[in-house]
Amino acid sequence: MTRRNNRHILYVVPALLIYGLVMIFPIGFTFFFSLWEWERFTPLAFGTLEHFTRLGTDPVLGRSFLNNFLYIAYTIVLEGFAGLVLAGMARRMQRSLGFRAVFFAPIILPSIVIGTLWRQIYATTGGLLNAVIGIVGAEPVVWLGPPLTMLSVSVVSGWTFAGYFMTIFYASMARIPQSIMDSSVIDGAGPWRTFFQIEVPLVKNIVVIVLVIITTGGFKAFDLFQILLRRDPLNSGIVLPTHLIRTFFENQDIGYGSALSVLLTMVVVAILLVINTVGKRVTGEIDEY
Amino acid sequence: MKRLLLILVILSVAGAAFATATQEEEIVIRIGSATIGPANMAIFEDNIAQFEAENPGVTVQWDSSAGDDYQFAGLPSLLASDTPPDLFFEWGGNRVRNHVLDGVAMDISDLAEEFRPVLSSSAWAGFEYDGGVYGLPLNQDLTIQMWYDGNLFSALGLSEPDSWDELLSAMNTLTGEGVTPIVMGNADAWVAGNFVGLMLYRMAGNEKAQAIMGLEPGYSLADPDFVAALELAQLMGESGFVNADMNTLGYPESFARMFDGSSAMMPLGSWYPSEMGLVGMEFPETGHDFFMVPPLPGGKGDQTSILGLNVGYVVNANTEHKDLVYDFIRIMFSAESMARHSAEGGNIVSNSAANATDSPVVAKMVSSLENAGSLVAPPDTGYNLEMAAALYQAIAEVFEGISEPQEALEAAEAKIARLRE
Repeated sequence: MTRRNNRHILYVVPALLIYGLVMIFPIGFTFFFSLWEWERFTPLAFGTLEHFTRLGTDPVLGRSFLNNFLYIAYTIVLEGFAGLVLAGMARRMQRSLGFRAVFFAPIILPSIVIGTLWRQIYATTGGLLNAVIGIVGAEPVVWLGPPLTMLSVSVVSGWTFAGYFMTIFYASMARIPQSIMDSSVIDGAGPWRTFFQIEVPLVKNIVVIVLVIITTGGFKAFDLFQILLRRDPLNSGIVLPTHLIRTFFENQDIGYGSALSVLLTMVVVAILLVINTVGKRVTGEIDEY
Repeated sequence: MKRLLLILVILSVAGAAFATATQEEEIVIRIGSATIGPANMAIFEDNIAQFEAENPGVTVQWDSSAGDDYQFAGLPSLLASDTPPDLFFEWGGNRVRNHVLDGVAMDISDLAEEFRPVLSSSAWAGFEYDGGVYGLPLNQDLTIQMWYDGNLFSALGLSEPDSWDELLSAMNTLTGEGVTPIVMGNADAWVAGNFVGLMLYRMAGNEKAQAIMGLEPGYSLADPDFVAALELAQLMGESGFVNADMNTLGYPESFARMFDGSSAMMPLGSWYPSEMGLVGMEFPETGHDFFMVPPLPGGKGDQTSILGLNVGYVVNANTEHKDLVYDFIRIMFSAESMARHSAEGGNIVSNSAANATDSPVVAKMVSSLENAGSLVAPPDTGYNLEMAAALYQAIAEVFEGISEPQEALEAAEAKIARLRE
């Protein structure tokens, strides 16, 4: 019996090996790199913690963290909450395919197209947004500069991903039994109350998943920032991935770049653990769809 | 069935053998480059056609990416790839030195000897290191000149300023006419960084500026002379002499402002004429011209100095096709090609005899170079990149009015203090 039970382990060995090779090994190797002193690409000596002590004195790191959390906060609203509301709206339409297709469409565009398109929309001279506010006599606004940088990038993120999360929420809401919806109508609940007090609580597990996706995505965001802000000379839109890539590629600072990677990994894992723990408490006592 | 299987096996084996044979026969010479203006690229395309005609079975693959992308991510990615370039574009100076230290740049002293008689002696600076030659200079770039709209200047009765006061006066006139005097597409940080970079040398003197930016111990970016240079930038920002969106405006997009009447001047390098293709124009028909940055008030350095550097091509030390790469270079650097780069691309080429001095703009650039008291390196190509990034952020913040010069430079120095140790 014991031998038969152990045999189950064999079935997961290939997956574990692949996971270890592509996930655990690189993380371990990055940590190993961070303990070396480097001269550009040449390792000099092992056994330094200097790169980790430097994390505490790096002024760009503080700004990057702040911007990253700001971006995640904005995108929770502009991607997650907007997706949730759009899903609710789609649910209330007789025929929602066209509506859903319109909001889903941006996700199929490459980042370079989205970034270039929005750079034109945000352009100070000849940009669509400034042309619109110019109609009411407003002065042109530098949308991609401080203090609007993070909000402007987040709006592009929201435009791109809200439809994607709408689809996820829509699929989940579609599984809510019609009897529950009918009961709420009989009990006199209006559309808003039905949405926020019946439908949303019933898809809480999906809300947690979406939060996880947005949070991890927020810590990986790079392409839109790079395309929209270019080198961002004021660092007004610098986020952790940008700081990390500049440290590795531009400064060719392998040791510190590795320490940044380790820190980033630890922060993301810690945040995911918190979301997971809180999520379990919130969703644990209710039927979910 | 067996016969069908046998046929399939034979076909597969034959196919694989053919593919291997084809692979063995085909040689690809890869060239990595920053994006080049249409006029210059056409010359390189002709070079490639000639080389491929002379070397059957050899093809040349030209991989290019926009300057800033190439500098920071494009070239490092190409060099780290399975198909690294055999020959690649580089800005002479610190970057070439780093390639030497990394073992990526080949010592081409043997090839350099062939070109020494025809290339200017000053063109080799930035490609020679520790007794070796690690690249062949194609152009001698002036990195900052003040390009201006001659038609607009004439219409407003303005002439090329000879002094800083005259420049300020011209900028006041332009502002009064609703024109932004200077446009900078500084989203990539280097345009304003190069412009003020020259002012740093002029204000502090070459030796001191080099020590500060060269990270010598005991020096600081917050040096009073650097602060004084940034105070001039601050004044320009506060007075509306530069475009308010300079730190978000892209380099290519900035050219449009020189043609819609909204801006009058742009601080940029000697490649400005060749970039006119970006706006679909030939340089001579633009009515644009340039003057050198006038002497700075209170400047302790050489007020005729020019920010510039030599740019050229480095042979990858790991190339398996050294002889073919040398042959391609011989075509690329032939007197005829050089002459075309100068005449059609408007560049100052390293073969001074090939410079198109019958072109007014090239003649003026060559004259400016000859009359310059010194040629000084831009912060981002001549020095440590982390230092340049910190300095450029300080410059961007001062222009934007976010920080005071002293405060911005102290913050920049704090970021790089450990490098100075």
